[in-house]
Amino acid sequence: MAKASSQRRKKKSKIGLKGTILLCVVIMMGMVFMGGAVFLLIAMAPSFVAVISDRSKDRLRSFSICFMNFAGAFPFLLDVITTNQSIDYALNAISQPATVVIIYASAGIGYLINWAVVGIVANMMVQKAKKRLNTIEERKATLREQWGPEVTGEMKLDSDGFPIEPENIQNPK
Amino acid sequence: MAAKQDDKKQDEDKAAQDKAPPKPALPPVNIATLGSDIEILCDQPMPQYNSGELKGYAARLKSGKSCFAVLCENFLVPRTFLTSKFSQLANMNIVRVVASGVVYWPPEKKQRYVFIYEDTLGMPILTRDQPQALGMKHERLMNAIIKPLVVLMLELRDADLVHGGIRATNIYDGNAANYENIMLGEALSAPPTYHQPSIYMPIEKAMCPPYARGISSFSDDIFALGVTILTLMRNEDPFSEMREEEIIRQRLEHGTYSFFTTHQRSTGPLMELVRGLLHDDWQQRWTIEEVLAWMDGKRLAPKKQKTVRTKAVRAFDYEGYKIVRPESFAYELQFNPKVAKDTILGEPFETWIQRSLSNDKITTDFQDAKHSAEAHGKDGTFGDRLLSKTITTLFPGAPIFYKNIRAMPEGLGYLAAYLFGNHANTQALEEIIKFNMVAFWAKIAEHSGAETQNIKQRFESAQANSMHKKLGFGIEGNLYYLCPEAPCLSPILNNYCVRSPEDLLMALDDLCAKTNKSDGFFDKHIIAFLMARDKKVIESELMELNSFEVHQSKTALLKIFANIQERAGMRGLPNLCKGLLIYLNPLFERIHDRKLREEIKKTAEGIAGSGNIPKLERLINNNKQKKDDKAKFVNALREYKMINEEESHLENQLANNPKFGFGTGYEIAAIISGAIAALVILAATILQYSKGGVF
Repeated sequence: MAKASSQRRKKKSKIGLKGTILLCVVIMMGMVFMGGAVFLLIAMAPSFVAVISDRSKDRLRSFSICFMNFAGAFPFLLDVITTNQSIDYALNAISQPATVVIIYASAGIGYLINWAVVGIVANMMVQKAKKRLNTIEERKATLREQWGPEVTGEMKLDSDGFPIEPENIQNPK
Repeated sequence: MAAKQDDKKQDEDKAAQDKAPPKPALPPVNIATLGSDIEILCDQPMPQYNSGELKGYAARLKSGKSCFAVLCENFLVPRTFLTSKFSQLANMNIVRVVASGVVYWPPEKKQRYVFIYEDTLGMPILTRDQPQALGMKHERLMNAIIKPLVVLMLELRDADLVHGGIRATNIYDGNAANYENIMLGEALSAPPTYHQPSIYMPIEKAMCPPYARGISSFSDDIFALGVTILTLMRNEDPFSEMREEEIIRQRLEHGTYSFFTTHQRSTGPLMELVRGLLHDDWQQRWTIEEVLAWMDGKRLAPKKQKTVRTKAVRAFDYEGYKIVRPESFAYELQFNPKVAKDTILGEPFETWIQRSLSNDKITTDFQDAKHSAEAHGKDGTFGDRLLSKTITTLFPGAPIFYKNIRAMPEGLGYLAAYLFGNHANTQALEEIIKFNMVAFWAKIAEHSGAETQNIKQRFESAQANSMHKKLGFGIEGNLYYLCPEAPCLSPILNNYCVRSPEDLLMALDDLCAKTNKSDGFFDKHIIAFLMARDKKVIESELMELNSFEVHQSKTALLKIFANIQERAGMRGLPNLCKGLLIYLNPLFERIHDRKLREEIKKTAEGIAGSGNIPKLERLINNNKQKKDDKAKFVNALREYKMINEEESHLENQLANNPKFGFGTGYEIAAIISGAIAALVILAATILQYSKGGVF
């Protein structure tokens, strides 16, 4: 029980001071630009879904979706902010089918970019790794040739770095 | 046409042969050369100059002067250190040493040490196979033999020399009739007094085998002179049928002079001289000055005897002998050790010592002997120790009797050389040194006024040596410590006469040339020999030489050989170097860098051709190079470890991680998306504020 509560405390503390300040600023900004905030809340829904479902390290996968989603929403957001800050206007703007299609399609493009780039890059990385493996094998062979099998570290060596072999030990005369 | 071509070819071959440098003439197989001007004729033996089993051969100088050579044996250590002193003697009644040294002896195909003497001896006045009696008249004996010998002995004494070979069979006629120019033969070719029959030796040394009599004293020469005079004056040999043991037994019982003259019918003035010379107590024996005084006609008062010989009031019945003299008892005890051990441990023997001998010193010494024999515990050798010490107690100054050994303490070194040279068992000798039997001998001998401090110290060191089993110590170490003039008796050098470290390298070089030797350059003998001969050259390397690590001992050997060659400024030894190159292969294996290793090997082969061991040593033992090589190897080791880990990681990722590279893909996708987004935002913003709105 105590363990669970401490873990929860740890999770809470993950936000940190900066996060807390940022959150406050966002909330305050949201209260000031209420229309824009409502618009963004609905327009960025694919991003929220992507972030929540992202299990990758540092949640990098959702970045491209978020970026593209925001890029799609930005012109409309700019319109809401510059035209009318009211919630009704924002809801009206977001309820336009074309708006929703553009915003969500851009999020989809983000997903496509992510899928394509990751596929290409991962393939390249595998090739690079294989090439590196070949290079390592060659280097190891060179080292073995120049320094002998003792360089592998697989043999028991004396203080001077030479193999301790029975033929190097002689009986007392 | 073909015949013409053949003729032409033959002419060309002949011309080529004429042009070729003449091959050096090989020495004839029947001639051994010493230096550049002495030739020894191997096929011309001179049996009249044989010294015991050492053979004499005809020799000649380049000048044409005829000489003879005596061939020595390695295990009968010759007295080489006296060569120059003997050659400087001006006396004409002794054979003159011309030279001595090591020669290659073709008939045996091995090296031998030889002494070259001027061939002026003539024939011996008495040969060994003749009855040992000459029946010379007193006056002739006096003028022809005694006077020249006494003058010679005086000269020897002044030169601090002991001849050690004064005997009737070693006196020669000097190629003159009627003993007008007698000559005394050689005595340097073997250990001191080695060639003397036991009757020519004082009673203590007569009990030892010839090779274990030890250092000879001038008093021994005086005694030998007495026996020589007696032999030459008597008409028949009373001892020809008598066994040596019986002679000694009688001498012990009756005294040498009394026993030797019992059979002597001759009387006359010479008997007084003989009596003075044959005194068993060396302190009572005449000196050379006393002999001269007697010859001048002075009547010498008998010396006051320091101690009276002990005699028991009741005889001890031992092995069928009724013994009254402790010395006789000591002598008899050696023959049957088992009975002897039982006897001395028995009560009757102790009672006999205490009551019949009535000699407090012997009683105390016997108790001391028992205690000191027990000092090393009552193990298997206790009985032998007790027996040996009891003999010493009963006969102070007698040789050490231990197991099968009979030796004077100073003779133990020569004995060791003899035993090793004949591949005999040295166990008993090792025990004598290990139990320091000499210390007890010296303690007892001190009571009779003998100087023993030096010998005590030597054997204390020898005992310490015997405790170590490492190279340079042990029984081999003691051989060369106790007999410093012994040549190296290593089985490796069987066919060589190695007398110095330089000789050792030359012998090994020759051995390598003949047998392609590439291993076994040292053994216990060689190291012990070097320790005794040249401690400086070996002492600092001894620990490494004894190391279990092959490379360490090989490095040490290389350093030792390099030191010897460099210090002596010796010529190149290419054969030895080539042999060493193979032997030292493990040292090349101690270079990590294979390329460097091959380079060094190639350089070493070049150096080996010139036979320069110091250069080879500097090449192989280059510390800076070793250090660099090690540092580079350590770096390589680290690098290998690092890339090995990287390889394992990559292989693992490729095999087990289906999302390999996805992380980077996400990053790049994020960057691309971010860039597009930025462009869109920028464009939207510009449009918004330039044309009055996006839409």
